[in-house]
Formats: sequence, C-alpha cells, structure tokens
Amino acid sequence: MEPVIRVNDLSTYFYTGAGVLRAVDGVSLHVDPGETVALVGESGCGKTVCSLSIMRLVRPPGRVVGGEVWFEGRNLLDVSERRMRRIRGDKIAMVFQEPSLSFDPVYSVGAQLAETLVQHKKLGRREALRKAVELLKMVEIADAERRAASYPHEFSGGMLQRAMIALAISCEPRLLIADEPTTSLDVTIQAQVLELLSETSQSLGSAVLLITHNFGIVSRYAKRAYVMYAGQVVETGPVHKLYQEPQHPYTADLWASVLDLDRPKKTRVLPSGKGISDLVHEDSKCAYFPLCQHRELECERERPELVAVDSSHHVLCHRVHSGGSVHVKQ
Amino acid sequence: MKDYFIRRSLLTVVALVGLIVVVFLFTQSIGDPASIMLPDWATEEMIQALRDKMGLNDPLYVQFGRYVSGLLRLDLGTSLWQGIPNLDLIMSRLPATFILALVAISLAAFGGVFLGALAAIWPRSVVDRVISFITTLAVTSVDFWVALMLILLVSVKLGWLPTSGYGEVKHIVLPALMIALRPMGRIAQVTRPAIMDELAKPYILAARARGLSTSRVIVRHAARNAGIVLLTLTGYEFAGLVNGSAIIETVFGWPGVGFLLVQAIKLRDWPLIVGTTIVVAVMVIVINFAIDLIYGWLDPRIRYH
Repeated sequence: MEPVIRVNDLSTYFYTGAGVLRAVDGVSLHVDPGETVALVGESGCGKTVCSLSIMRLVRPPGRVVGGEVWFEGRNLLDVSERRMRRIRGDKIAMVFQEPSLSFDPVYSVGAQLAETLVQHKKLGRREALRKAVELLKMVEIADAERRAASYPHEFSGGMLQRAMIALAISCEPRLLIADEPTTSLDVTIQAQVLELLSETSQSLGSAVLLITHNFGIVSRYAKRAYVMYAGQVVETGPVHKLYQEPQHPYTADLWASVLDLDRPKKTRVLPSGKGISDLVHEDSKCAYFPLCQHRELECERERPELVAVDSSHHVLCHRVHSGGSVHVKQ
Repeated sequence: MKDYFIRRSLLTVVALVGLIVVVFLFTQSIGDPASIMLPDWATEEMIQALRDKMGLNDPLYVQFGRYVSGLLRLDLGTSLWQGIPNLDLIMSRLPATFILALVAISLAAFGGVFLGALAAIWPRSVVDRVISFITTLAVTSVDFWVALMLILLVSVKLGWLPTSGYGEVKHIVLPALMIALRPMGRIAQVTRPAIMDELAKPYILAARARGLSTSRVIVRHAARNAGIVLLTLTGYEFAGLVNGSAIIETVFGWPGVGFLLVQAIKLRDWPLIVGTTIVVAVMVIVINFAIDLIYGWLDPRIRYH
C-alpha cells in the first residue's frame, strides 16, 4: 500500500549565533492511509520542527537543508509555494498545541472556519458559514449556531481545541498532523479531545501523525510510533514492540518515565542533563551518549546507523546488530 | 457592545466636566487677563475698567456660573479683535484645520503602516535599514525649517505648488506633507515591532497552516491585530493635529484654528484664546471617544471589559 506521506532523510537546521542547531537530523518516516502514527519524544527533540518542515512552514533562522517529503506523487520540498498553499489546510491539516493562541483573537471562530473553507473549497461566504456551524456540531459543540459567532476568548480550552479539530477536518484532509493536541488542556478533557480526534479522523479516513511526549497517549491511540531524540529517529516500530522489547535505551527510559501508580515509589525517571536542548552536537558520536546508561566505548567513537531488528522494527543503537535484539532492562 | 458604548459615553461626559472646570481654574490662575490684554502703557483705571467690563471683579462663583451658563448656551463670548461671537469665528476656521488634519493623518497612517509593515516583513534587510533611516529623519525633522526649505524649492524655485493659500488641492499638498512627516515616522516606528510581534504569534502559524496566502495573513490577521495598538497612536496623533498645527498653519497661511490661536495670542484677545482652548479640547475628547468606539469594534475582547 502506498503511504499517504513518506519522508526521506529530512534535515532542518537552525543557523544560530551559537552554531548550527540540527533540529531535524535525517528523519525518515511514513504514514499509511487511515493509520495513526505517533512521533514521540520530549520537548526540544525536533518533533514540531519536523512537522513544520513537512508543511514547509519553518521560519528563519531555520531551513530545511535536505531530504524529501513525498505526498501524492510530489516532493513537497520542490513544489511551488502556490501549490503548497493549496495543500496546507486542505490535504494536510494541523492541530496545534495551544488552541487559545492558535485562533486569531479578533475574528469569530465561525469566521475562521469559513475563511478556510472559502480558501480551499471555493464556497460562498454564507455557505461557508453554514458549513462551519455543521462542523462545530460534528465536534459536539453545543449551540453551534451561536457558538460560531463567538470569539476565541469566549471558549474554554477544551472547546476551542474541538473547534480546532473541526477546522482541521473541514476540508477532509488526507493527513492530519496533531502537534501535542492535548498538552495544554485539563487532564479531565484530554481523553475527550483525543477520542474526538481519533473518531473524526477514522470517519473521514484521514491518516494521523500524532506528535506527543506522552507514551500513555501513544499506546492508546497509535499502532506504530517513531521515537525521536535530538533530531533523530532513534527507534521505530509497532507500539507493542516498543513497549515489550525496546531496543534503544532512550525508548526504555521514556517508558520508565510514564507515571505508573502500580510501580514502587522509588522509580527511575527520565535521566536529564543539558544534552537534549544542546542539539549542536557533533557528528562523531551517538546523540544519546551523554545520558545513556548502557553506553559503551564504541558509542563515543562513532555515530550509529539505523538497523532493522525485524522488518517493522528499526533502531539507531550500536548495541543492536541487524536481525539481532538486545534486552534493555527497564 | 451597548454596555461598552454607555460606559464610554459616561466617561466622556466626566472628562468634559473635568475639562470645563480645569479651563476655568486655568483662566483664574494665569494672571489678570485685563492687564495681559491691555498694552504695557495702560493705566490702572483702564485695567479696572476692563476688569469691570469683563466681570472679573465679580465673586468667583458668579464668574463660574456665568461661564458655565455661557457654555450651556454655546456662548463662548465675543472676540475683542473681530467683534463677533468666538464660537462662530472658531467654527469658521475649524473646517480648514479639520481637512488638513484629516489629509495629514491619512498620509501619515498609510505611509507609516506601509513602511513599518515592509520593515517588519524583512527585518534587518536593506529595506528595513533604508526605512529606518527615513523614519528617523522624519521624526527628528524640524518642521518649520523643512517647510521653509520646501517652499523655497518646490514653490519658489520650481514653481510647482503655491507658497500659501487655501481652497484648492494644490494648496493642501505641502502643509499636509509637512504635518504628516513626524506622525508618519512615529507610526512607522511603532508599526514595525507591532507587526513583528504579531507575526511571531502561534495564530499566524496556524493561519499559514490553513493555506492562507502571505498577504492575507499579514493584512487580515497580523495587521488587524497590530492595528489595535496602532490605532491608539494614530488617534493620539490625530487629536494632536486637530489642535491646529500652529506653526505649519502660520508658515503656509492656512486659515485654520492653529493660525487663529496664534493671531489671538498676538493680539491678546483673551476671550478668543479661552474659547479656542475649549473648542480644541472638546475636539480631542470627542476624537478619543470615537477611538474608543473603534477599539471596541476592532477588538472583541475589549467590549466585555
């Protein structure tokens, strides 16, 4: 099956005064039609820059320096800005982390939905507004007619995120990129919003790239995941395999950091250090070397290559050899 | 919006009452109008006679009552110089000042926002630097000197435009440009960071992710949000301009309120000075009220506060 999107060796660097920051450093990933795939990692690992690179929305000093983004037979990195605009919001839509900051405060929510519909679906203003109300109903916003005329500051966070989902699905996109869609929300409504996201994307047949730092969300909503660290995908595979037999020490550490009330009190949390924010790393060693608890001499000498544990499970670690597998204790 | 309107209206009334009291106190504290109005060689008898005539020897509350009842009847006294009611005199000059202010503020707002937006879109570029140079020049220019130089060059040397006058489009070009210069520079200097701030906000990224064009994102979203800030400045500048740009109006012989005030001061026409002050101050209050209303329309969040 042809994937909806295939990203090959994507690199996005930020040219800062302090040096070149490799926010995305040779990332490859794909999402199949209708599939929900997670991109996991802690803040600053390059997840968001990766999604913005796909959308070609990286702003200076950042720049996509290499790779390919194949979507509907075209490399998005090569198409004209005009064509890219027709793809954004229509065929690839995004849900952002902060709903309250992602709506323009001076226009009503309905007007912003309508604006998108007018842009892509060539609807008249009135028709677009009617469709906007329908969409708000679809995401279970009560009193949708009145709500469409309300301004973003009159919505609660959860409600606004549902409105943003309505916005994102308004043109029935083939791919939905949800960047930490529930991180800014109250815990009690996170599940609600995620359920809505998964239901609506399923009913439209949209594939979802779910960006999150929360492994709990990953295991519940995604079949497959990419684990990112310092701009690189360090491990990818079916979520159950990443859980049962994580090959990369970072994956294991991430799992260990998920709050689990059944575990004994004194549990390990994610090792932290200056490593993650300091992406101006050298070429010559494994990026996780400074924090890795399984590091070996080789890890400092050479940068690892992605190896296949099996056909669906890949890892970027010196300790794993093609076809083999190591047990990383949790 | 209705509540907001009522609240703003009440505040405006309070400001007007405050203004009336302040102007009265001001006229009482600045010295004896009679001796200010009369020439230096006037005798004590002449001064006393004028004081009687102007009612300055009456108790303060009588003067205040007379002043307020005059205002309520829209009577601002009579000009000593022209011998006609001050209000009529001022009103006959207001259109000239108003037209000049309107043309000038439009030039300043369009020019300023345009330059500022260009600079914001390409920060630290050559465009940005050139604009920064122009706006700095504009803000620091000495208007009467530049005005005289312009008259020398454009009117006297080249003969393109008249040196002064009123009534035709060609008459307004130079004074409007001169008056617009500084507000334009200031508006441009505020527009740049205002739009840059907006462009860095998440809703702009979200708008771009929805497939909107760059120009639409800037005009419909960033500029409108930045406009909330810019409106304050533009309104403030406009309020300043309706005071009548005394210097520019004088240089170009523009028959506006500013020119009138200069003449009134020159001729020591006390009632006219006070009357002009009141009218101009009322204008400023009315403009501020209008700005508040536009605010409410521009920013839905303000309506509820």
